[in-house]
Amino acid sequence: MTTTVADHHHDEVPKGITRWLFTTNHKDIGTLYLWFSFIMFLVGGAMSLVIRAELFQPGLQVVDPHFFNQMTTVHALIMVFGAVMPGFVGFANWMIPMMIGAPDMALPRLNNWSFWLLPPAALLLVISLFVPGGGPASGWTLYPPLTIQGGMGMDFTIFTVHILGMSSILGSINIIATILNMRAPGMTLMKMPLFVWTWLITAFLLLAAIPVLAGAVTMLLTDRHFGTAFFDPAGGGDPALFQHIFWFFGHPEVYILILPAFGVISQVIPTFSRKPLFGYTSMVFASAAIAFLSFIVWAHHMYTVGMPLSGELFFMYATMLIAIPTGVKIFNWLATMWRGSLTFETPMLFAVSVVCLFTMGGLTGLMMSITPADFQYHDTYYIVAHFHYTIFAGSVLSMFAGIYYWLPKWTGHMYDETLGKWHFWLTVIGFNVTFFPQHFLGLAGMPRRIPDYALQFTEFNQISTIGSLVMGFAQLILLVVVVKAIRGGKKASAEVWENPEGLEWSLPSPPPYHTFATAPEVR
Amino acid sequence: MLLRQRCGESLMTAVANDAQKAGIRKTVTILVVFVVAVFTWSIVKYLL
Repeated sequence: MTTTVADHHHDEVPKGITRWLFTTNHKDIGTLYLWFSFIMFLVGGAMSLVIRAELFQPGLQVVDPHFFNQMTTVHALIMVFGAVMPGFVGFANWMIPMMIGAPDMALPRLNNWSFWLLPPAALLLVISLFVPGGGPASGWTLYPPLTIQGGMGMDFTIFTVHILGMSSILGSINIIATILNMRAPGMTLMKMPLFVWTWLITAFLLLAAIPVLAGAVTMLLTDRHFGTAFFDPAGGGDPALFQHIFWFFGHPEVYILILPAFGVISQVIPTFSRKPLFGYTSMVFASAAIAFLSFIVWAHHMYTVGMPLSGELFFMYATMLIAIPTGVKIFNWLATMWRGSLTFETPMLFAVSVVCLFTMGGLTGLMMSITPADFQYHDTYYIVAHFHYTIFAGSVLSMFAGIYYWLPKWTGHMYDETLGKWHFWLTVIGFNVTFFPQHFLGLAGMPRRIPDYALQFTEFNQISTIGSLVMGFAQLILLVVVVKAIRGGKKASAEVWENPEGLEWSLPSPPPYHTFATAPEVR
Repeated sequence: MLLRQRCGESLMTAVANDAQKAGIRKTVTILVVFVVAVFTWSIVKYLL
């Protein structure tokens, strides 16, 4: 496909802390994003274990109800904004320039700033738990009027959302500018790897959705401190308005979390099937269709708020439509594997698990799109099970697939396959033991975000807590695998896998500090 | 002026030629205007 020249002339790697503070190198910034994401993943994961410990038995044992609510809220905010989003930006930073044959991101200094906005924002959110009145306890959706009444922790949260949003917007501008302007000669849009395509679409989604969230929380802030009443019924405002604005952001956000995951899977499956991706063009258009539809389905999150019948019907049918492009993707992945020369190294195991488990999450989502049925499921553990099957089994497992797939390229060493498989099996089994029973709890009527429950829900909750412990501690294996690969191990070749496709595999493993100073030619 | 010069230098490290630089500037300008417009409109429409 290509010829490549890696430029070794300027390959002096800066040393010490200043390398990481002032770096404008896309690989360094990618590494920073990935480590930040992993730390946040552990912090958010620890909070989920607090939640599950409390729910091991009915009654109140471990934490008080107010702190429990703070845990559910901050766990979600950290996982969405601190772990999954920055994680995929880390992948984007590392891989997009190498995949399109660019020497770096288009705006390297902006790239540095985008990253360094994140740690103070995350710190602010965690600190909010220790201020008078505690952290946000409203759920990640930050619905008023509760959030208008909350303490100082709510202001910390609003500021956090602003900073994280700014980081995402700057990162997205950089990614779009890079992809549209810095592709190697011959790398037309329809020759770009799927991961680059899905990120291009995701970046546009971010630019359209994040400013809306910023607007919503800004109005929340002015309602709290500056005498406005956008969402305060006492002043003529409407709390349901916030829900509309929030979900206008919130539903595209779901696809912001999943589209780059689809991109990763579309890179991994062809490599381990030893076949080109089936239906490349349809994959691109399916991604674009999902992005478009994500902006016209927001009210399916709030059927129970009440809306005209025509509105309910519109949002129901529009939501069902998303199953079509998503189905195209699932079909194409299966068709890629069909009669392929399959092997199941750790990245492929994770990729196959995503195809299976995300499909389950998609199907339960389709059930919830049906308005009258959703009245039964709304705010129950069925929803919790559903979105963990999409966000954990879709996005997080895809990230694991991507880490194992590209780790030898990043570090120059093969990872420990045995430990990788242990990580896979414990994670997937732990995940299903945790979340599958929650479908039953939800259907039986157990409400979410409540620290206590009726006796008949005990067994499923105990199974769920045991599963979460297995899944949680299994993530430490990933840490061991990554550290081992960084420190040494079997040398990885440039291609790493058997005939993988893409410019990144034409570079040595690990790639030099500066790559593609001379643009490769893509034929 | 100094900032503009420094930003220009920073761009030069990654950018191959003036046409590419102009393309990046155009893309960034359009996207920034879009983001500011969406943010402003998401608040202003409830004030009108």
